[in-house]
Amino acid sequence: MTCRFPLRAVGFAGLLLLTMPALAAPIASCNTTFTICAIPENILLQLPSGFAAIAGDVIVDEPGGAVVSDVFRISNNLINTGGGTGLGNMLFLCSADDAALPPASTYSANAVFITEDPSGVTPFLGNGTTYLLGAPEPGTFGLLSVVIAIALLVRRQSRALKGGL
Amino acid sequence: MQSLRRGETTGVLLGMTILCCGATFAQVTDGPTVNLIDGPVSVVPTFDLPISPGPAQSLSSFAALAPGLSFYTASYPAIFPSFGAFPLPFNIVGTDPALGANTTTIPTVLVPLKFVFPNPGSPTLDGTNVVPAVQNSPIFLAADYMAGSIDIGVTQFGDALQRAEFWNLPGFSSNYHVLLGSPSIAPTLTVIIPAGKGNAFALSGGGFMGVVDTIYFEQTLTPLLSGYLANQLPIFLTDNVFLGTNGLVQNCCIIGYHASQGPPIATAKTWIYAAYAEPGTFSGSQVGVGIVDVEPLSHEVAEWLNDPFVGASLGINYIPPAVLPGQGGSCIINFETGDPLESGPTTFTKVTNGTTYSLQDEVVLPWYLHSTPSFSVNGWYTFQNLSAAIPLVINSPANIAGSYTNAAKLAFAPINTPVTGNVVYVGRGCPANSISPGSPADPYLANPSGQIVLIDRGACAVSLKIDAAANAGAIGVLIGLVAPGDAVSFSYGGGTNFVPSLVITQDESNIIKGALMSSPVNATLSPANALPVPHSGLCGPG
Repeated sequence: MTCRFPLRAVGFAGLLLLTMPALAAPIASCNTTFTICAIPENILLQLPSGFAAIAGDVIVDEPGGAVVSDVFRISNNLINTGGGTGLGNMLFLCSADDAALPPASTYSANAVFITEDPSGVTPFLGNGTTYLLGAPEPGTFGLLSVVIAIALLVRRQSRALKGGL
Repeated sequence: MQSLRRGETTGVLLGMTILCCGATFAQVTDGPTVNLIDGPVSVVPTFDLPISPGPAQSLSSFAALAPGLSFYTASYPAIFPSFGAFPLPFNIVGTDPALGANTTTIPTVLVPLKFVFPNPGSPTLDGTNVVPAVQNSPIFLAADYMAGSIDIGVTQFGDALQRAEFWNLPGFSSNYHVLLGSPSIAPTLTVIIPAGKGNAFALSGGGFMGVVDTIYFEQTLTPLLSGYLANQLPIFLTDNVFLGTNGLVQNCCIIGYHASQGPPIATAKTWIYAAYAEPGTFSGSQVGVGIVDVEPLSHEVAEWLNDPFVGASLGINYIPPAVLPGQGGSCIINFETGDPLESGPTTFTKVTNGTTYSLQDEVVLPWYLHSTPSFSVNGWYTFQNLSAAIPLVINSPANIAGSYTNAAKLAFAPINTPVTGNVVYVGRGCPANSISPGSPADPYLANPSGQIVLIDRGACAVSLKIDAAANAGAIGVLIGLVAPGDAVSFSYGGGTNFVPSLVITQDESNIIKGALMSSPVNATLSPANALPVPHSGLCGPG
């Protein structure tokens, strides 16, 4: 199986997605201030209505090695400035456990590389939002487990994020 | 909710963490500070709140029938090498400037907020006291705005900005205006701050500043919106009261923001909070010095005009993600005119009713859209072009000819007109009495008359060196640094007679001195060579 990333260059029409989230994809679980979002693997997600994110790839390497375990891609479906950059509201976390990862030649021009957390849930802080990569799906483990994971990980990674400006 | 600035959180919070863990407030001399009686405290002045949707609109039939804010929607070509022209929709207050002459006047209400703080003695800061100053400021009264040699007009700050922004857009008319109506004054709202939600702090120069918890402030403000219509602009005004988590000075300072309700934008209410910054509250950098009187309000009015519906999803004016210059790599994704110029020498002054006010320069839409050429006045990318760097251009000899961009402008000796001439090196150039009482003048090593003079930095104020050179007939001045490093600007230290001047690096100075050993050096200082505000770098994902 190959990860099916959201199409790029949807362009202007993509702006319509901001007001029709339910029609496009499941909504990512984020807090109201968009400082924390839970991102389960291999599910195309859309940011909550009204939010957009800076497009690009986060390459997650396995601990202690240079082997890529996951690729977290924020699509540039709203504004495409080339090379996988721009603005978007569609997200996808592709895991090597379940699918073929995209080749390095397709990484965005602004790609960043991080190391996978041994817990299996890897926090990535990008532009003020902590994405919990590999968070369990709410439907599988229940919302409570997601909340607990968010609380523990964010507390450990960035205590000061709480209520911060 | 107000500015979709991305990435500032970490940097701000890092600063907060450092401050919170010290036994005393950090004593700092660099970067913006507030001048408390116990010493300066480092702060991060900002002009917006974190992302979140605006409050929902009332579903009442009255709200649906009420007139909305006067705005237009248009697209402007954004050019990207890999994507070509790409139309982005923008919602901007007023009528479409491409349609020609029109005057839009937005009914405006000043809402003074009076805060009673829980400190001993219940100190009070009352926005009512600064209402006259705001009414008499360039926000509401007319001043003359120039853009180089072009007269933008005698008008309000916000109108001048909008006119400059679209000056060369096809269809633009010199009779295009977007004005704030003469403000009505709402009754003062008194807020008694509970313990833990705000504090007053004594300032070293006398008086107080206040810090109110951001969330508490928002909760206080939101119910007030029911008293205003969507076609009005309520401006919630404080006197030296800023926002910060838990009302702590370490967490200060949001000094203004603009906001809106959620969709639909046709009926969404919009509003501004701005602090009137009392003189002497902020200092420590050129940014800090500029944060005074209505400068925060100028920032917010400009941003409200150009991106009024920041709380409404489809109403937000998204732009290609942009790195905010000089702000630690923070990025922004919506059209905020003021944020890119928060860091740096970005303020200027205007006089209305005999009083001098501080205003902020603003980027214009072509800066965000990478439009080339810019459709704004003079092809500029900011309203007043204050942040544009002017390079030293050496015309000859050929072996050193070129543009030297590591140069710094001097606010008191601006390059408003082009100057071309031969360069002479005159030495240190300190005039008599400038080093100490009775100190002699440094002898000039060459005749400066009719020349661009190169003067070494050191021993006395740069402005006195330039004044002396101008009095001796120099047509321009280069201040050469005498230590390695980037060119830096200097503050005014006396003198009355100035000519166009630049500060250049030690390396550049040495290049000129070396060339002068064998041939004349001809150079140009010209605003025509100005470089736009930096617009480079990729924003990381997230």
